[in-house]
Amino acid sequence: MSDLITQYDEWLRDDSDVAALVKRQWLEPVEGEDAVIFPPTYTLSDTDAGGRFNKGEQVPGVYKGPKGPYGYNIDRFDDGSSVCLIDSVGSQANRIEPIFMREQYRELVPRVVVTTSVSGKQREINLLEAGHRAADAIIRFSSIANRFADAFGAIKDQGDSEPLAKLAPTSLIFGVWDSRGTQVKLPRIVRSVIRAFNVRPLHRSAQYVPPVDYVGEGILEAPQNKTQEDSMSELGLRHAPAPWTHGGVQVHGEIRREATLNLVALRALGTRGKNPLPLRRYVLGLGLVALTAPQKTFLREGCQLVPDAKRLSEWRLVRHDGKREPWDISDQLASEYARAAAAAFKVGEDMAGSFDAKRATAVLAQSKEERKKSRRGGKPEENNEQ
Amino acid sequence: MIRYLCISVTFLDPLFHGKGDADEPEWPPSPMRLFQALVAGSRRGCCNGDWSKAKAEAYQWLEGREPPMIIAPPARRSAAYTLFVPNNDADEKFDRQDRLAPKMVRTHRIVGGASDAKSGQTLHYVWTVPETEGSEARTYAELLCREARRLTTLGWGVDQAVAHGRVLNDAEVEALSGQRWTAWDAWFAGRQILRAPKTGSLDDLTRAYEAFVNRLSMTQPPKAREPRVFDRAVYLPQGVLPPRPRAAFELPDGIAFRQEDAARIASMLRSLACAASKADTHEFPGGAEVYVAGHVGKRQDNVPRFSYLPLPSIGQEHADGMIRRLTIAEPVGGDGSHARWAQQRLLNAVIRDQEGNERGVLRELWRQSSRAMIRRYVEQARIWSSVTPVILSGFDDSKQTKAEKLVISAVEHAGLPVSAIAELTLRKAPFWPGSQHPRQYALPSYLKGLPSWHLRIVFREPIPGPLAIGAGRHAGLGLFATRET
Repeated sequence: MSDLITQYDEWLRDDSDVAALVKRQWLEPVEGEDAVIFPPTYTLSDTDAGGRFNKGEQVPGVYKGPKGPYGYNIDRFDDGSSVCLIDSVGSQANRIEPIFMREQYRELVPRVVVTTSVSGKQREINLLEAGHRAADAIIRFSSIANRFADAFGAIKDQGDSEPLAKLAPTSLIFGVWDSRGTQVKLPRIVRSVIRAFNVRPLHRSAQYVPPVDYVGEGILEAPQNKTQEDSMSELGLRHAPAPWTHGGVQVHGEIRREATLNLVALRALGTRGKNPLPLRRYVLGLGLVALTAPQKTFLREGCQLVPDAKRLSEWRLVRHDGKREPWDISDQLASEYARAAAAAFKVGEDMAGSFDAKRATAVLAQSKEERKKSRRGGKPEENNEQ
Repeated sequence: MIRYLCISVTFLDPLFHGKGDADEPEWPPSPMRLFQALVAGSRRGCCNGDWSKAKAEAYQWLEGREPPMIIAPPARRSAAYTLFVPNNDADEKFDRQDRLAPKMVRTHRIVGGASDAKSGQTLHYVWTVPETEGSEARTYAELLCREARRLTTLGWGVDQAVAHGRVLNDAEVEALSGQRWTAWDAWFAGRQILRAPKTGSLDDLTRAYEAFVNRLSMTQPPKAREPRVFDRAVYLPQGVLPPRPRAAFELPDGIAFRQEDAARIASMLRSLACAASKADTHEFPGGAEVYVAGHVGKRQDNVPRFSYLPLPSIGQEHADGMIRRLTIAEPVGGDGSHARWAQQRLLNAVIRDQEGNERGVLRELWRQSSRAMIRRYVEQARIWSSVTPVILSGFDDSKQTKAEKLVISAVEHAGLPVSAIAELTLRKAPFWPGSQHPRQYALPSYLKGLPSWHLRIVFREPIPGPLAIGAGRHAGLGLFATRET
């Protein structure tokens, strides 16, 4: 067997001392180092910061919204430093998984699509874009549901992850919970998050100015009350100010992606009666691609981050006792390893299914009691008419 | 020789999402959480095929042990926020937007980070394993050390971690860096309470797992999926004291005693408690003669016993320093059962002086201001000033330096770590309005002639009251209060 495919076997054996790979990648705004970026906003109604804001305190990063205080997720420390969440673990996973739809990586995973009809048009949904992965409803109500149910069953009853690896290997990488079936819960092997350090939140204001002064020019009558004023603003017939809302953050420290590949979770993947190494090599290869492949830089409006050319990514190999050692891998080597491992494992076949709208509708129409009945025994939802 | 089983867990990210009871963010992660994570690692995926009777016995050995010491890096609460996550129940609501469920995220952020040489992101859970337990204990410990390497997360699913185990000696445990948290066998309101495994926890986790896997059958309520068999322990950082459980009473309107008679009032209260204990079957540590009456030899000054602490009125603009409220406090770390006894048995009892005259009735706290006033004596604070003077156990020859040494000794006798003191001020002038010069206070015969001072102590960390030090600390003298509430 080639050195390429066996080079990481030491990590994949049950008694390995290596517990995880950790990557730090420095990013910068596409506009330049000190540009303003827009982190995600969250509702802060039931939080300490939101409570203080409601009492009139100026809390940096918290703003007044129509449904209560909202803002950025910023931790502040006594020494004046701060950390701001730029892209969460869940969000990063949803961005990374579709990498395997790119031309250079699509051969590494089976292509599983479910066709459904939306407004009379056929639409294909790729499993890589399904939020709950192999356990998503798009699969559960499809013509290929039983294959996935059997794969989850193999994990639950025999500790055999190979069937699921043949169908939906990225579910092993990013984690999955078959919450409506076998209850099999697989921890994520790859985890990534982006944070910015030492941030200063800003405000921004904007105003819509209509092209014509409809009232001033006598085209429309002046509004008689606030309701009419609001209606005119809503329809774009009036100035609409949006003052002092969230205005992004200026980052005075680093912007960093921190990603891990948990080898302990990977080593918990097994096969029934077979050597688990091919499976583990395959999953490792996918994980390395997930961490090394160039990622989409556009996170959201006002937040496009590119790798910092002045600072190379750092890899660390983490042992069980917490000791960290330098390590490195290029995206090219990761791809080569992943291809070799995928070929040896034999990637699962592409699969196409159709969404069973009738069945989903029938289940939707069931009462709570009927749904309870159909779930007993842990089977996928059944049509009462069958 | 004592050995220690040490399971060390290194977080791969500085955020910890775990929540304790009452849905509050938890730090450090509880021993029960670790136990669950270890069992999960041992039985996850293909590892379940290796599950054996030997492993089960090792976990059962571990669950039967006293809660471990936890050595953890410092962590602070992070900003909370709400995520909206779509439920995977399109069979109930097809549209994704209709399935969004809020999920409040409240985390702790480990201070220091992975590159921090002192503590990093590693916690250590340390169980004592006396050598007398024999080779079987060693076998279990070594097996658990190997199983620890299968741990993948500690906390939520995003709290990825790696772990390993070792058997260590005293010096090796001493060398572990981080803040030490120890378990107290008592209940204290407002303190960090962590779950810990106990006998039966492993079997119960198996039961909970089966209930979870079969949850869609809806034959059991959701609570069946939760662990039920565990202990709870108060964990306090080293250097932080637990509060002193106490009983509190208030005298009727119109009855008050001069602060200078604090020791006499304490004596009346003690007599009442002694009489009640003789007419009762409640068991006291060391017996009622020791615990309630305080009949201990000089060499047994630190034997656990009640402290009788009349509380002069202080803190408000017109506070006159008179005694209207009385407490009976257990020693530091008491479990509260004896204070509860005192509260129940002595409520509405009549206190009498040495001649047998009625001097007052012990009521519940009835004045509006009482709770706020008592807080000055019992709440956590760093700065404490004596209300009644501290009686030193030796002679200071009127020298401040010698007095300071005797004060340090008094602090140690009171069960306080001297290392916890940041600053000490001695003087004869009182710190509180209503307090008097030390020579004004009536002393029992065994304390007469001993030097006495007013003190102000600044601690490095807040400590709870009631705080009393010195030779009269069980008799109303050397009582402190704080202005920090």
